[in-house]
Amino acid sequence: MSTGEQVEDAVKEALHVCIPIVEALGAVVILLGVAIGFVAYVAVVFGIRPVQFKVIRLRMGRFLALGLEFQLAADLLASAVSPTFEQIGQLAAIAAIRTLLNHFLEKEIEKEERETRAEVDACSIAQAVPPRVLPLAEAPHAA
Amino acid sequence: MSPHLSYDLAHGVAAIPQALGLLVIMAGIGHAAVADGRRHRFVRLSTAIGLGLEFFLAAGLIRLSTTRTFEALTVIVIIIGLRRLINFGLREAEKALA
Repeated sequence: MSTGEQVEDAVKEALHVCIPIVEALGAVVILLGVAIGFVAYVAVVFGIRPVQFKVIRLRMGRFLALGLEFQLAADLLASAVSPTFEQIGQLAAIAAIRTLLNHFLEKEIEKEERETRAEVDACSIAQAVPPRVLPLAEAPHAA
Repeated sequence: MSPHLSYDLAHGVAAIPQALGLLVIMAGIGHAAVADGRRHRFVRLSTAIGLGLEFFLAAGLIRLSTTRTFEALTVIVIIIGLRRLINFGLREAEKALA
């Protein structure tokens, strides 16, 4: 066996170890998001911490997007050890769809973040500016 | 040998968010039942379903790492579509309540 083939085999073996680790990391990130989301939901239902459901979903969505990113990374690593064109094609299709999913998830998160920020800004402006008290002469229906 | 995560392990782990999602939806139904007014009931129920779907999406994504089929992907795409639909419905309900 030539040195090149030996290196190739070593790389393949290393990837066989790395891929499940990266996939497991993605699953751990997703599970962490699930745990955080569930705890926040229980806190809201029992009135311990008044957080909007939208905020919980946003937080969870961020974890899901990150987990998906890890899975995409695992797909990319797997493409290095796929020996046949058929397997590479299948991987490419799944990776492309995952990328699309990630894109849509991120777009949705961005949109909801923008809306939540706008709501918070509107509330803070309403609280910061005291209502203008008109003098009696200026007030409508004063006469 | 497949270099991916074990099928049983991924499916076992994915059962956790699935069960939690079901619990959130059931709790949402209970929470909605005690709400006053039809609109509040609708908002509580649809928020719980939206949040429950988020848990189902998490389960689907974990399962996807071992079940590399187009069927599994289609299920996730459907869940994302449902989430969008529920979000739209919620936004409309919020507008109506305002």
